[in-house]
Amino acid sequence: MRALVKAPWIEDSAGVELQTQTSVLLRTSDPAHAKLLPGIDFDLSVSLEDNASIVIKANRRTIHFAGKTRRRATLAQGEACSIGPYTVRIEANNHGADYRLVFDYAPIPAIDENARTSLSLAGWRASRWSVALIAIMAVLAFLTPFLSTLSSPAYTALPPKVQGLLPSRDAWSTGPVHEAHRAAGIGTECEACHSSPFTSIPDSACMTCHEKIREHVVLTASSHKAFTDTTCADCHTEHMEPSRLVTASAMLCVDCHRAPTSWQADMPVVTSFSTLGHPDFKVSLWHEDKNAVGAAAWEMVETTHSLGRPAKEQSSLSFPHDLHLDSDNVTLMNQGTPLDCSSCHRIDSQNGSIIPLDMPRDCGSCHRLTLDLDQPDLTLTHGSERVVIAELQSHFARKAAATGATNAERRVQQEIAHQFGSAGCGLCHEVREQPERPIDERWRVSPVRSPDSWYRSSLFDHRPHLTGPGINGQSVACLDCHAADTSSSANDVLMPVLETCLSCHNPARIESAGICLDCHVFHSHYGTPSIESRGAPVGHKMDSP
Amino acid sequence: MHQSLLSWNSYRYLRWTLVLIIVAMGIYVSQYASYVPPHGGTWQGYVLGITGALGIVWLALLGIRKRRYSSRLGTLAGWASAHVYLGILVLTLSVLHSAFELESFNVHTATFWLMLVVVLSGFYGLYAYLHLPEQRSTNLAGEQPEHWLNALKDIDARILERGSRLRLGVAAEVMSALRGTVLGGSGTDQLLGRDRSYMRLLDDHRQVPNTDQKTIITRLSETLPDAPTEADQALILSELFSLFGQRQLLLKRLRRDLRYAAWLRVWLYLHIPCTFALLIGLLVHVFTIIYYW
Repeated sequence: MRALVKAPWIEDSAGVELQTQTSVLLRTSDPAHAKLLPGIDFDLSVSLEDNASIVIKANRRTIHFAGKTRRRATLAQGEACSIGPYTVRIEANNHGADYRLVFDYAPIPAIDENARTSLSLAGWRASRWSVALIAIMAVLAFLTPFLSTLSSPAYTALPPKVQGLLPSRDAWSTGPVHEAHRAAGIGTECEACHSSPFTSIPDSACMTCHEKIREHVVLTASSHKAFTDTTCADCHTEHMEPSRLVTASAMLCVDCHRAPTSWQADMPVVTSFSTLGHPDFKVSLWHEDKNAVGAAAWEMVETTHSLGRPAKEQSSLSFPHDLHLDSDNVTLMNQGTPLDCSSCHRIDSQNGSIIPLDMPRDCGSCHRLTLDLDQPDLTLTHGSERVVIAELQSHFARKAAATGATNAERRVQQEIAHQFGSAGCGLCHEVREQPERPIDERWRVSPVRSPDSWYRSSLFDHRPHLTGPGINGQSVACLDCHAADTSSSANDVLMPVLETCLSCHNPARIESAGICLDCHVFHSHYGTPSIESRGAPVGHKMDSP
Repeated sequence: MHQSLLSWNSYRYLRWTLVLIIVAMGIYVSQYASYVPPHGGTWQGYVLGITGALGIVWLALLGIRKRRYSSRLGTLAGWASAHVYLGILVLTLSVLHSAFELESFNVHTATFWLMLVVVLSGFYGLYAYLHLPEQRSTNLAGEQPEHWLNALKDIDARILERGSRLRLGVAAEVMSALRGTVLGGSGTDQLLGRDRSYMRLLDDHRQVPNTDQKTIITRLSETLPDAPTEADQALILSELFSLFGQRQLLLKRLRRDLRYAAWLRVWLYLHIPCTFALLIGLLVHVFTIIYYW
């Protein structure tokens, strides 16, 4: 049995003869010993089998036959396969052999069916990407934060590492929680404020912690109507960027205070912090009602304090600031060091306010209440006439007993009169003597009627004012605002007036012109406690996280 | 036609958009008259947000309308023009609604960034539709791509015919170069116009790059000087050399065309999926706002 291999490269038109059990190598990596088959870059051999079929073998899986790509194909007469650019088929032969294996060039399409000539043919599918993104968003933006919000076991049961990778309910927060709330431990406790879903934050949620907060107005005053239906969250907005709980806008006050209103005719009119836009400052002073008696006779009254009309106080104190600041007259402990403001007045390191004076602490180091020159370390207790008299009686009685002196009673009388006189209490205080009274009721020291704070509705932090640049670029000293060095009377109110503040904080120096809340307090101390007016559950304490 | 996308009906939608942007800015600025700083939760914020959300939904529907050529609801150019300008309006509304509070990363800002991706990819799409068709047409010399594909097929047929008469070893390389020619390829290959064609060298059976048909042209030029003159071998070689030169130019042209076609469509792979993600984000945004009212 014979077969012919007929291929384009074989010059002899009869082809190459194959005998049974022989084979011919059509293409090999060694071109010198191979029959070249253009377009075939792998080894291919053809052999004739006994059973009149032709076996084609390739060293790679390159033969397409019967729907599969294979290394070996056995062709019978009439069958065909394709190899590279060739269609290979077995035909009956008319050149003397039994069969003929014909290699025909198959046309190579410039772009075959599998060519990826568009993005969608390259596998890019907008629909698939859409489905993927929808799924990602549904899981990461909704499902896991929601399960986290509900504290669902499906979320809480996840290992912490997995939870750390997945968005929690924090992902639903529109912005940072204010550091004050984070410090309070509710930075990640949504339900501390959002007590129930689909409802706005109730005031009770705020007042479980802020139970001492007071309203801007007194509930009984007509002006409280202006705040009807106002909730905490109307002004205090959380999750802001940058984080701010208190709104930094003059509008907070000016929207009501810009004009007198029907419900509060005497309300001060404010439009801006300027000479024309802001009323003169008012200091709170103790005022005596001549018709009343006792403690009820004294009430705190707000009095205008301006350049033209400086307020005067009836403090009952006698204290010349100018003398104390005159180093020719007064030095610290009489040792030559001039006094300055901080010798007596201390700044609270917590809020920058001035700590109210305490006589033994702030005056006592110079004005020691000694009672006996023989015992200079012994001092009287400051504050109560009766205690002072008792201490004097006790001391001189004991001294007389020890020395055997007989004039003890007269000595005590003299010493008491001396102590309540101008060299003792009377140096600073108003002292009234009522000679008809018994000895322990004879002298009354008038109580000091000076407020702890003259501007009770304002906050003033002294610290930045002492270090920040002043009008001439110098640090502001106390005397720039408090004219103590020219005040000879304790009735002088040494608090700054509007113009004092405006000299720095004025519209011409925009960067230092502040907003109302820089100085004023909204939740003022005289307002009605919010917990009363807002009906928050009293005594309901939140579980600490 | 492309220019009319922007200038459609004497810039009708541009004028509407400008008016609405000015109105939106007025609404935004009015927040400063209140003591609460501008944010999405003021009534102005809600107006801006709800309008923006409705705009987004409408834009998504417009996207569908633009692909439904049989509809009789307005002209296609009109809808496309509205789509472009409404996109600009929605971008403005979202920025104002957010009151520029975009520092944190959460579902709300993520929705904004998705919206930005959608709008910016849309801007690119607009640019592509306005400019690339002209470049594409210049590249194809006013013909359809099929014209040049047919020219390529014609050249390939001639190369095959010549190759079949070539008895030199280089014939195998010629066939290999034909077989190893790649047009298109992966998405990035198409976008970058990368040619990953290859061929096998006869001598060491190595597969080497045949970028821009340079390797086969080099191999033909190396073989040409020593080609035997018998059986037209030298003539065939020089014809093949010339044919591959033409083939190189044709392939470059076709590859450039694929690149333009890819750049004309690539933005849709951001625009469409991100639109769906944006719609989900928008739903979650609205839900969480109501949930944590």
